Formats: sequence, C-alpha cells, structure tokens
Amino acid sequence: MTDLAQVVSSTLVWAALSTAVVMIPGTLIAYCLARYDFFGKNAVATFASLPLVLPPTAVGYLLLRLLADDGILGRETIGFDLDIVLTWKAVVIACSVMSLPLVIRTARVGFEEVNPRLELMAQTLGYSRWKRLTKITLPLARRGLLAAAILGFTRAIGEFGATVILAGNIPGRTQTLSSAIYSAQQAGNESRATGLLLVSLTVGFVAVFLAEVLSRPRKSNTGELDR
Amino acid sequence: MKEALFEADITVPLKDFDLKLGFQSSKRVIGIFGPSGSGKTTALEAIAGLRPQAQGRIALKGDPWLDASSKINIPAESRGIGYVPQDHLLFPHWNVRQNLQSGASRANYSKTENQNVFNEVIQVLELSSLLDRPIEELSGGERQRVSLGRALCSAPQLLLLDEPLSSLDGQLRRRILPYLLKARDQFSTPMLIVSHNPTELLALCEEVLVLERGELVAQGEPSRIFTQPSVYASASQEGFENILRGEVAAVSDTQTLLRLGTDKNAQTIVATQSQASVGDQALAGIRSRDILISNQRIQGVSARNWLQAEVETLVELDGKWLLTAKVAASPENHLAIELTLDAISELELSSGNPTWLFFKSTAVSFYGRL
Repeated sequence: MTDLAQVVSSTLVWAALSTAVVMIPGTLIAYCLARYDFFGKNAVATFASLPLVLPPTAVGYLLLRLLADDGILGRETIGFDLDIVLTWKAVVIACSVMSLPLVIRTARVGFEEVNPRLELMAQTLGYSRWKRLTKITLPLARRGLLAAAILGFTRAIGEFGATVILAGNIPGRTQTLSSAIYSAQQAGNESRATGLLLVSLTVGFVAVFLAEVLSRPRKSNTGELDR
Repeated sequence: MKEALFEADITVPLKDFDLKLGFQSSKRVIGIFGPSGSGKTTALEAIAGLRPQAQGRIALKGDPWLDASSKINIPAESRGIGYVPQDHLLFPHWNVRQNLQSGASRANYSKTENQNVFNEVIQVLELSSLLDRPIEELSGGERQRVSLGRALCSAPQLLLLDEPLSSLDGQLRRRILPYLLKARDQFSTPMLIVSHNPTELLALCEEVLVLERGELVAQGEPSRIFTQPSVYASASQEGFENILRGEVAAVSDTQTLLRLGTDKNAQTIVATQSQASVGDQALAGIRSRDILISNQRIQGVSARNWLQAEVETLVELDGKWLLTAKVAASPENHLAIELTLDAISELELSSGNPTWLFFKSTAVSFYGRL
C-alpha cells in the first residue's frame, strides 16, 4: 500500500470508528433533548455544543489534560495506563468529541420532525416504551440519524487541531488526511499535498451531498398532521 | 339495576378550567357532545390513559383502569384501547396492511382468529384494494377508514373515536358515516365517540353526554338530549339534523324511498340520493328549519314528503319555538322543528295533537348503511 493510500484508509477507518462511538451517546442525548423537558436541559445542550465554538486546539488540550499521567483519567489517578495519548485511539477520541455537537444537533432535528403523537398512538396499541422507540421513533427519524452520522463522519475526516494535540502527527501511526496535508505543505511537497487535497474534496463532497439529500425533511416520512 | 358497562368520575386540570366528568352507563355506544374547547378530547385522552394528570376513577365492566384511592393507574399500553384520533395518526413508514396489523400482536388471538378479524375488518371497511398502498397516497376518507380498521384489528376492549368525521367535508362525511354504522353493528366492541357534530352522535349513539366548559350538563337518549332547549341551541349551530331510521323500500336512478315503520301503516320518505339497495337499513337527516307543519294534508304542494306525527313538546328558545314530534308510523323516530309563536297560535298546536310534517326530498340527507 502506498503511503498516500495508507493515510487515506487509516483516516477513513478512524473516522468511521469515531462515528460509531459518537452515534450512541449522540442519539441518546438528541432524543432526550427533543422529547423531554428536564432540569438543566439548556445546560446539557450548551455543553454538548461547546466543541463547535471552542478552538479545536483548546478541546485537544483539554483532552490531553484529562488523559495526561496526572489527569482525571491519567495513570496516576486511575492506577493503570489507558495508553491513549499519541496513539490511533487518541485520533478516534479527538474526532468523536469534535463531531459530537454536529451529531446531536442533526439527530435532534430528526427526532423533532417525528410527530410525538405517533408514539402516543403506538402506546394505545400496546407498544412498550422500547417498542415505541425501535418500531416508530427510530425508523421515522432514520433520515435525520443517517444525516447525523454522515456529518459526524465528515467532521472526523476533517479534524485537525484537537487530533494533532492529543495524537500528534506521526507518519504511519497517527497521521490523518488533514495532518498529512499540513506536513506535505510544510515540507514543500506540493504534489503530495495536491493529491491529498483532491481525495479530501471527493470524500467531503460525496458525504455532504448525501447529508443534504437525507436531511431534507419529507412530510410523508415524519408523520405530519394532515389536518 | 343493570351493571354499568362503563363508569368514569375524573378530574383533569386544564389551562382555563378543570374537566370534571362523572357518569356511568350501561349503553354500548356512548357519545360525548360539546363545542370546541369544552374538554371532550381531554376526556377521551384521559380514558385512554394519555393524560397522566387525570385523577379519580375509570372502570370498564367493573375493572378499574384508574382508581386514585387504590393507587391503580393502568398504563395506556395495557388498557386495550382502540383509539381513532381526529388526525388519524397512521404510521407513515408503513403501508395500509402494516398499519392495520400494527396492533394485532396485543390481540391475544391465534393466527387464524387474527386473520379472520383482519379479513372481516377489510371487508366491512372495504379496504382490500388499499392494502399495499403507502399512507401518503390515501385520501382523507381512506385514512379515516384505515385508522378505524387499525383500531378494530387490535381487538380493543373499548373503541375511542375522536371527531370521526370532522376532518372530512360534507360529501365525504355522508360516505364515511355508513362505514362507522357498519363497524358499530358488525363488531360488539363498546364505543365512546366524541364529536361537536350532533348528526354523527344521533346516528351512532345510544346515549349522549353533553359537556360545557368541562362540566357534564346532560346525559340521555340522543334525540331527547338534542331537543332539550339548552342543548339544541348549540347543536343547531353545529348543523343539527333530525335523524330518521328506516329501511330502503325502493331505489331508482334519481331517488331512494325510505320506509319508516313496519306494519301496514308504514310511511315513506323520498330522498334524492340513490346509493342504496332495497332492504338496507338506512338513515335520513333533515334540518329542523326545513320542516313545515300543517294540521291537514294539503294538495298541490311541491314537497314530496308528508309524515303523520304527534306533537310531544313545545318549548321557547331565544324568541323562537321548538316543537318535538314523534312519527305516527314509527314512534322511535322523533323530530325537532323550529317554529314562530304566530305559527303555533294559528295552528293551535299543543302537546298530543296529531299533525302533518312536510319537507322537500332535496332537504333530506341520506345515510345509507351500504
């Protein structure tokens, strides 16, 4: 495998992993924000959006502080080494944290477009809470959830600041598409930088195009009232 | 005394007032009438278990669904409700067949029984041609039938219908009402129907409750309740029609003959619609202000319908008078007629008097039972 292909494939795998990691809590938080009123709801929504407004390097530094030897999740505190910093796991964690706000926001819109009265209707037909979620809400919100996953994936592919701080930019170990472009440009290797740029453009275009198509609300799929 | 089939004594706090509904009934088909905002839908949702704020007691056939004193509150998913909401609430990601079968799993039937009920529902509601259609392609009337069919397929202990015809226009309403009548007669499920339309309730129910700002103000046999002056005033604003029950005696291209009563004294009325078959049980609706009254049968009048009747009551109503009469050939058919004081004096009308009622065939709304 060429060096370029290796960078592209690792980036895609790490982005896919981070998407998988972030979709579970992201969907859960989005559902709670869309469906329930609870104490501290606004605080949760704000906190979950923070990575969107903070400089990525600040988020990376915060994660580094948490995972450093003397951090809350560091070796000295928990008694063993999680072995995350400067590894591929750090790339996945940084990408997950940075894509969480986009995933939550998009999934929340997806849930909000599902008429909550359909869930009540299912309840009168004998559906338990779990069955209502799996048979009614999730299938009806599937477009929003798919769009959330695609946006999370693209955000992970483009992630740079937080990743570089937490995972470094080690060729063959933690180098991603964006950090490889940075390195190539710094080294004056224009052909490599251009190749990586074209790959980024293609992946980004396809992903955003899909997200656009999928996130467009369709009345018929969301249970809009017809009165 | 006959044991109550359904009883409720509930309080639900609302924004402007509290809904306080206390009643019991041994009738199988009960209607709740009231103007918009009187608390009807809230009552229905509380009975379905969708209003957690509801306090008090609700019981079907003596089994409590809610009993605050014993801390019983059966959740909506365990009440065995067949809910037909005003906005249909069909599941948009499933086709008609999947929607109809969506509640079947709780029915506790064997596979064969399930299939039998399903077949009966699609036959009664004429849904067989729609089964594979997506929901988005259905018209309002079709959605209403599918929503009713879904409720029936789930083998409910109680059917709750919220304004079953109000989202439909007049013509469609006339076409859907017969399906409701058929479902009512074919399935023995108790029904609770909420509506602001007196015609629906007169046609469907054995007993009607009247709600005003969350308070129960009247309960009784529909034709009696709607001709009470206090109820008639709001019913007439909602398009009150007298409902006559009879059997189709003849059908031509342009008209239908409905026979009232069974013996040799039976009388007929003519309606201009002709979507019926001889022998069908059917309903005819006539507005109170479309009926004229006479002491004798007059020749040379264009009105095609003449009914012999007996005056029952005469009550004043906001400057007008409301006369109720029973049809001689079928005393179960009552009519309410609006009159002026002059007319009453001139005709010397009083309770017990025989009289003639006449109206045009175009004034008759015909509700066939298919």
